[in-house]
Amino acid sequence: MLIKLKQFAKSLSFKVGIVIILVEIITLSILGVFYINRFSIEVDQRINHNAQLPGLLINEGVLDLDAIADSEIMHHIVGEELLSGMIIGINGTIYCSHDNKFLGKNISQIDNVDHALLDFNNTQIQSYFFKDRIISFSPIFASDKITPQFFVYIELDTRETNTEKEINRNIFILGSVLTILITSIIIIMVFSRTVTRRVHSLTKILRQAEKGDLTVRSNYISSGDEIGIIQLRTNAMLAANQEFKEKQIKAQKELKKYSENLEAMVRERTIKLGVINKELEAFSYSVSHDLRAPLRGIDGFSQALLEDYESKLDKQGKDYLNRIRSATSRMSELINDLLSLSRIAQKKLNYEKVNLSKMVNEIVEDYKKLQPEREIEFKIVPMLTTAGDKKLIRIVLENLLSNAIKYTKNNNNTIVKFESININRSKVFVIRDNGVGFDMTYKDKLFVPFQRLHSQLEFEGTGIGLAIVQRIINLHNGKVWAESQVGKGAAFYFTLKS
Amino acid sequence: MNKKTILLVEDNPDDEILTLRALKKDNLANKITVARDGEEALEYLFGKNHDGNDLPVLIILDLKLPKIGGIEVLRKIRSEKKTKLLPVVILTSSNEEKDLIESYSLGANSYIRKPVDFNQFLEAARQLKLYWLVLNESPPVR
Repeated sequence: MLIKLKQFAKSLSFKVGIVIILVEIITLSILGVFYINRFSIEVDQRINHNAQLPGLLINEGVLDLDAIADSEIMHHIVGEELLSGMIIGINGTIYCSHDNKFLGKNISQIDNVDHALLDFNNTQIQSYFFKDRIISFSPIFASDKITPQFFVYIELDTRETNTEKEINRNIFILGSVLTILITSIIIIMVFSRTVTRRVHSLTKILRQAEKGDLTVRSNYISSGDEIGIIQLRTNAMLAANQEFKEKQIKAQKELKKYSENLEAMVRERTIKLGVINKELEAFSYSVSHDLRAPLRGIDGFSQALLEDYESKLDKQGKDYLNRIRSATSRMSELINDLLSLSRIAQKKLNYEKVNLSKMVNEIVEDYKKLQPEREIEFKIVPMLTTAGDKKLIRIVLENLLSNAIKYTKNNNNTIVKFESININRSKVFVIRDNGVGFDMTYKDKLFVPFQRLHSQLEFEGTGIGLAIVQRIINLHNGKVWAESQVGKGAAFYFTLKS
Repeated sequence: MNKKTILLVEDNPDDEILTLRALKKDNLANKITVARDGEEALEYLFGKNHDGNDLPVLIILDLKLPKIGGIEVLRKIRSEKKTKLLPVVILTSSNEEKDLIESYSLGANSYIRKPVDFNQFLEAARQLKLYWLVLNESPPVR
């Protein structure tokens, strides 16, 4: 009950009701002040008129002065409210009275009369209103109709008219209260029927929609009012949402179907890929074992010939055999390179923090021991770190540094730098040399296995180093590229992503 | 001791000739028996025609063999009481990590990769001979 009341106190109907009651109270109060005032004035005028009537009648000659003393006539003229009636001379002497004991006396001698009020020089009718009586003091003129000869003093009891005013006021207030109550109840009921109930039903529908039932619709009545418009728009919104939801469900179903297909596809591909990987491993093994065996035969028997039949071979024969041997050795190198390339592709990465600068320093120290005759100035920026597979990154750095050292072998003063730069907010590592460089026209061939930009005679090598570098960088989701100008050195850039 | 046999398990005739040539180069007096596949090797070691006295002092074992592979032969050697202490040197073309690990974990005494350059091969053979036949004490024959 209390909750319901509280809810009602918050409702729109209640608020509207309060506003209406306030408006009615203000309106009725204003009206009431006017009406009650008007009524009171009318009553006062009526009784005042009654009080003035004897004076008027005497002046008109309709009534004799003596009639004032005749209570029957007087009651007839002014009514039952008469308290006293007197004819007073301009000197104050009472000539005629309803009470004989006043006759001949001066008005100032009579206690009950407020004689100080009475103005004997005034030729206008004087009216004095008191709480429960009224006094009228009218001049009776001589035949010239200007000079007052006598004054008529009439005193009337106003208690009855006061009561009349009071009753009238109470009736008005009661009527007002009843009007306010009835109209507000009616208005609240009408409002509730036209607004609150519809708002409630709308709320209910919206709540159902909120719970996921988008099929509900408001009972739209084409009333054309604001709530009608809200109902219409709500229905439109619900319909649109329902359509959207249906589309979404359909799309989700399709997506699920698609993803299931995709999963099956991925599974299938993974199996195939596994098979291919196995085949590749078997191939590598076979290459490692079987391709090398005949080479060993060629080399071994060439050597046996050179050693065991030395005396029977002339210089050219020995040269041919030596050429056979160096060709087999190169073939063997190529096989090894091919193998290492295929092994890197199958490797799983073991991520850890790598101090590249430290690694470069170590590699450089090894080179210095291997080639002490080379005078190379190494400029290595310290503390450059990244994350990656330590073993593989070492292979990258070894290859790039060995290239830098290899292609600067004809230089007088060699400088090899290791540094990092920022490109588009990502860290790029660079190895620079001031060696022979290469023609940028062929930059795409750099990273292709066994593709070389220099002859074997100029610079030894199989052309696998940069292919291995690119594979390792690819495994790290990084990028590797090079910039160069013939004769002006080369720069190899790489990025690594975790 | 010089009468003792070396068992060479090798299927490739070229490698066989070259290995024999290399081993003999330093006037090795040992008798060298060649088995051309895993089955033959096992037959030599465990067959009915052979008793304990004929056990070789050294087994040089290739991994990639017809019929029964070198790894299987090694496993068998190490699982049999009479052969489990025999020195076994793996001499193979393969440099696959898994072969290396498997050989050592099965108890191979040495793993030598056959190089293509025959000079290196000779050097390897020489080291092999020196270590296993001259310096190393053979396990007692029971």
